[in-house]
Amino acid sequence: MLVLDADLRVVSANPAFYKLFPFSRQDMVGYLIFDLGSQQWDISALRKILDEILSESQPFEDVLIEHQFRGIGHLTMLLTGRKLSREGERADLILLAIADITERKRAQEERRKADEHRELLIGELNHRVKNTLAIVQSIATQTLAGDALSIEAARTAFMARLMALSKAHDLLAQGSWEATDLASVVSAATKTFVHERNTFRIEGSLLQLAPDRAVSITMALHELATNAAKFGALSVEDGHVDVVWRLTGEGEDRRLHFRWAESGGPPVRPPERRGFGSRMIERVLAQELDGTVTMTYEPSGVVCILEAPMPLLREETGQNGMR
Amino acid sequence: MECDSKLVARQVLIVEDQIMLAMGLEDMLIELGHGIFGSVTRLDKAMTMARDADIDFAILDINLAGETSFPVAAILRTRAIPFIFSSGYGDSGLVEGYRNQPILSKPYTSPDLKRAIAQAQSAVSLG
Repeated sequence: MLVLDADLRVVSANPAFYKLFPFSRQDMVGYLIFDLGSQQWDISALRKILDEILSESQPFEDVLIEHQFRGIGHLTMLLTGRKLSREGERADLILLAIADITERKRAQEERRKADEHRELLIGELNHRVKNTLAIVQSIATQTLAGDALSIEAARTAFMARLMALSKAHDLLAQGSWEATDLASVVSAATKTFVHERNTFRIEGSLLQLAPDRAVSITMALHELATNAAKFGALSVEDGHVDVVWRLTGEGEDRRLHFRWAESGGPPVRPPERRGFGSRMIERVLAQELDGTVTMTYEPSGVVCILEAPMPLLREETGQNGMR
Repeated sequence: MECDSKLVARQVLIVEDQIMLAMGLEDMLIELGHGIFGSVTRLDKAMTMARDADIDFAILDINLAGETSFPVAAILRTRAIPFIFSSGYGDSGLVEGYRNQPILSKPYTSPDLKRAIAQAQSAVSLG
């Protein structure tokens, strides 16, 4: 709180003022308000309201003024002022109350940003839920339409696919929906097929995958493993699957060479019907990754080779990004 | 399959970056009596096809790997090829200029798809 005379010179200031501003009484009393702190108080908005109060006796209330003060920093203040007319010869005084709302405003701003962020997250979550429901719908429709030999077989296949999708989502959740590495994807897709004797060898360089790709690849690998468990290497105790990959080239020209090779199983031959599983394997790996997929049915077992361009992700260069 | 011959799109282009969804959509379209020209997952390929391919209809997922399919829609408009959007965001993902375009909110059913196709085709033939 400041008391000014009719010439806008400081008459007095209360302790709260001295607490907020680093002035002593000698720096203040008798000085023009605009000259305080080497003209730091020469604020045009303050001039305007004080001029009005002098010329028109117009009080003001809660006028917002933001100003950068040396040594204090940026302050947000609410100013309330009124002219105090005094009887007789005594000159008028001006009462100027200054409320420092810097903290309150900062808190409001933070709350607003948090609200905005929350709305964004809810929107994104809604999008992902809808997208996932659509994927489940697609899996259900295709499992029922194509592959099913019986209701029981359809139920088993659907459940397994749903669980694979769920595992893919666990991975994404662990990676905060930003990126997941291929080794984790391979492990997640093959985990339920690991038994005591048949084994997987999973080996490859670190490769970060965007969320959608991680989901698709998990599903495709799940189908490969399911086929292996039904007809291939994983249908016998001593079966073995090598899952190996490597990256060649740099930056934009980087390429992925991925190989799934079964061994130790019964002789295999190409499937007579192309159900959801084979379509998933070929299309997801080929189309979504924009590469080529070769499935061969060697006497030793199924070999699936994928060659795909794998330009360096933004996530891997340290910047955040989401597909 | 009963289908109004006027409303049958013989060659449909699917632009969808999630392959599992593209596969489901293809099945739905075939069941409705349509043919599939092809499915593409990426914007650059979608634009090339929209420009050059002999297609009668297109279904565009709005969000493609962080980009939108609106540039594809713009090309289709100049060729007067009817199209619909699909999105997991519902209507809110649409921008000025496409507000009246039919949009399928994922997940959708076969009757939803059929209705949206008919709507887009009649809009083009009227316009």
